Amino acid sequence: MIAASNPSNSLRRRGVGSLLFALLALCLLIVGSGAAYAAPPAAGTSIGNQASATYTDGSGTSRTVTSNTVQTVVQQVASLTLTSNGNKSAAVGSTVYYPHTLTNTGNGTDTYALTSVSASGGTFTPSTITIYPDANGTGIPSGPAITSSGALAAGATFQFIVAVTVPSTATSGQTNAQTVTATSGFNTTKAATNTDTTTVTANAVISLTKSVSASSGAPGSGPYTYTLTYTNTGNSTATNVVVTDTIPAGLTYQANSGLWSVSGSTQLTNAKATYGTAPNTLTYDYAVTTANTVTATLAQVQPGQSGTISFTVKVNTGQAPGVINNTASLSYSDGSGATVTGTSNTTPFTVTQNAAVTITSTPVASANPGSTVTFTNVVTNTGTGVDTFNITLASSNSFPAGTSFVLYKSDGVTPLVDTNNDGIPDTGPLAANATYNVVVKATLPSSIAGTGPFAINKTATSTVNSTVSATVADTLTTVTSATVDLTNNAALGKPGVLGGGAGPEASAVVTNTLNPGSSTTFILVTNNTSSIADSYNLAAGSTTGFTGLPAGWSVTFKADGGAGTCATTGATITNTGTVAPGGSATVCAILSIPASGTSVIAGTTAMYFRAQSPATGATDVIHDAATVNAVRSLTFTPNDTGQVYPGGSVVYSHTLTNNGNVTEGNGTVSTVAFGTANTQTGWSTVEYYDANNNGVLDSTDPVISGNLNAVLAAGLAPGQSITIFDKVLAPSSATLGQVNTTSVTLTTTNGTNPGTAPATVVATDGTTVISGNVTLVKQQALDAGCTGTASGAFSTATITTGAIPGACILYQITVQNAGSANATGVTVSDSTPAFTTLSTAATTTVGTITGPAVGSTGSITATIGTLTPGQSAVVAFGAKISQ
Amino acid sequence: MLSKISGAGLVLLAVCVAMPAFAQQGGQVQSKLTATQVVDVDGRTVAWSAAQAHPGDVVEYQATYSNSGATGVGHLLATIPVPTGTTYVASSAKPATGVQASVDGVHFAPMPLMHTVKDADGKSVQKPVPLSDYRALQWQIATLAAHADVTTSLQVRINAPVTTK
Repeated sequence: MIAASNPSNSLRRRGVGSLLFALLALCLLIVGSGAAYAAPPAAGTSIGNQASATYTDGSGTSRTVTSNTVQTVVQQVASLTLTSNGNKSAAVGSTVYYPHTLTNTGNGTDTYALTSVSASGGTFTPSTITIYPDANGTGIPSGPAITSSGALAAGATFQFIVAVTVPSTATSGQTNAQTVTATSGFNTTKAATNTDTTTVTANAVISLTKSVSASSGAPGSGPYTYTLTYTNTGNSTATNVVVTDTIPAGLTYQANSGLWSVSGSTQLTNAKATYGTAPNTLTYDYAVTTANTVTATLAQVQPGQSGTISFTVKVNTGQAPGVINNTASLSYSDGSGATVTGTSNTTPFTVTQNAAVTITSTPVASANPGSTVTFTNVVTNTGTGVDTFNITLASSNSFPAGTSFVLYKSDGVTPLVDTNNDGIPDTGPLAANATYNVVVKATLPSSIAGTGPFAINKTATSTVNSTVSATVADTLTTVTSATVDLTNNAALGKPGVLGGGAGPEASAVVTNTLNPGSSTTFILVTNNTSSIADSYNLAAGSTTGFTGLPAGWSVTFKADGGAGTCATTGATITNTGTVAPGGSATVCAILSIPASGTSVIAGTTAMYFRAQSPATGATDVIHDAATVNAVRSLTFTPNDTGQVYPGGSVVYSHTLTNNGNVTEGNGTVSTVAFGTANTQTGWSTVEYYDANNNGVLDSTDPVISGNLNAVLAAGLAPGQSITIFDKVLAPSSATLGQVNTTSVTLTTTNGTNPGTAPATVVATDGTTVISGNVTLVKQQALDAGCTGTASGAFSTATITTGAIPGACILYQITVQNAGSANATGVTVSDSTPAFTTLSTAATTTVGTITGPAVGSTGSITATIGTLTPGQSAVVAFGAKISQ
Repeated sequence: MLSKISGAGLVLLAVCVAMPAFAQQGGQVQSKLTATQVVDVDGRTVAWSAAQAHPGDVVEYQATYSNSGATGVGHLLATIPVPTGTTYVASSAKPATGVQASVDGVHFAPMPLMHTVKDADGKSVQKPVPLSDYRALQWQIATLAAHADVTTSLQVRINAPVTTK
């Protein structure tokens, strides 16, 4: 039998292998290149190898790395097989043909020397020994004598015949053994031998040769005629010559196609029947005596008589390519009573390969710009044998300009490569009916005009027959923009997620409450709903235009600390960093608001957060809100004391301040009611609102009767301060030294404003009745350069500018006797204000004065003595604001 | 045609480098592959260049993966194919743990690979897959720390002629 590396055998093994693999319990998918090829690689072949790895990097992205390619060039080795030994009888003077088949089982082209020498021990020496080629495998020489096989490609076979002529001097029973040797020309130590043994006989010798009308044919083709030629080269009549020929698998015997040279055109039927005229008869049948076998029995063949028996076959449809060998068998009675058996030469018939292929592709419904679209194409070898299919992409396609295409093997990771050295990537060898998945990855540009569909044609072309190909389009139906979904509290699909879907939502998804001067955290989750990795810039605003936040408000974005709850936070960020397709990133948006001011008025403010990809433009806005808690507080200060003469009046100045963050006292949200009470009988009190806010009770300042909104319709806004004058009138009957305490009570009653109303505030003014009536007015002026000279006019107004550390303030205290009698023992006391030192020594226009030295602090006492009615005295000093 | 079929069994990866770059190629891990011929000389293993080799020779492929990044990477699946025309040498995988084999380069399973075949009397039996059908080995490496290397290797024998008689 031929060696395992014979190509035809490899092919057959391969078919069996594929069958076995179909039963793989491990669910191992078998692809064309997966099947075994035990044959050595051809000399000069470069065996390449490239390692690869996939891994997951820090961002969670799966990446692939491939190594360099290493090459090993396969060197030639010599190897051969030679079949088979022969053993024949021959008549004296006749020539016997011994067919042999030489196979180059090495991996390179080789030339073999052919020799035949007589082995020792023979009892006759052939008169001639000649080696002939047998190009057609007919068992008959096809050309002149040879001594070499000629160049024989790796895997190829060479048939030749050793012709042995029995000399006329030989006698019956003598033998001769010929050692036939084929020696490799590449490596002369490699040789193979057969032995042909010839036995001289005086009896009948039937030689049987076999030939076929064509050396090759395609599956389903035919009919082809096999011809069996029998000749009696002996000296006696052979009887009961039985020729049997089993039709090999892959060929189908054609019914009633038998012909016998003796009976001419008479068909030999399948049924067993006898033809000819006795004693020269032929009994013939197909598949009657033996299944699948032609059985032809010749009653006799006389010396020198020859004839032919022929029949036709067709190649089975779907027959795998390869060589079908056929050998007929023979037995006969040689006239001496002995039965001789033998065989014909072996006739090869090559079944050529039908190439056919199909390819399918599954459309991809949609993809994002910048993403990679994967098409899986199923290539099926519908031909009859192993085939490798080149895969090519059409040069023009309807995909957007800038799209790149890469072909991958079935794993979708390894690039599709050229396995047959024709420069075109291919599937590798694919067994008949096997499939192979070719993966096409199309990487789209990040900017795409139009929405598709887009398609590119891909063609699988047989390398067995380049006219056979199949084409299919890889179609991307639509391109959709990259998307992101910004949610609150959890990622999409996770418990607790809020605000899924495109925003901004009509109403706030999450509303956080906070007090002025505090902060609150919104948990934002950027969900990458695209098929490509992306990153997102973060923004916050109180409008969907993201034009800003209320004054003093700020939002800081921080990475989540890891729990996804913002329980802990990481670095401050303005961009999410890379978010894998389908992944999410949690961002903590920390809103801080000021402690006071008009921007923290109680109420709810919309908060919009936006995630926007700078790369793809994917964007989403979520609508949240922040509610500032109501803080309600009124202050009414200061308590004061004054002096009044009987029948006179004194005016006290008080400041009412709204320290909360809601409006008070406008009569709707709340009402601020004024109440007054005097401790002494006969005293009265009138409240005025300093409408022009000049700090002085003017004639135009309105009297407050009842509620604040009577004079201040808008109420007191958060942070607003107003001046209230409390004018206390003493009765004429007031006695000297009498003290009256006036209480001004402001009571807040809720209107529409929910929550707790601010506490009642009270200012008390103590008024002492004096006989004289000395008034005391303290005025101030800025002395910016500390020169002792006022930079501006003296007034009772507050210095609002320039009173910086290092500057000086000059004070003038004017004491006047407004009464009708002398005021005696007048003493004016003052002191340097806190955080100041004396800069200008204290002086008085009347009397004497004591006080601290310049640069020191302490009390200032002016001993004025007596002031006559209408007389006044001025005490002055300067103070420097500490630095 | 016959010689074409045997030639088609070879993966000529020389063309690999001419392929368009991977979409996801690159990153912080690099891979280097070397091939050395392994010969037993007087009981000692000697290695030399495998630029040329004869059928029957043993070639060792050694792949080194280097993480040049500042962070570790995970789920490293390192694959060395067994080129067509060669046969994996049993137990030559190093490291010998965490390695799986595949007949198609896609689906990996622990060695020895088994498959179900029908024997002569029609019964299904589990049998090892011939080593000649192994087409790739893959090592599963959980993590590769920053600036660390990992090396894997295997040996193949270049298919030799089957010499009968």
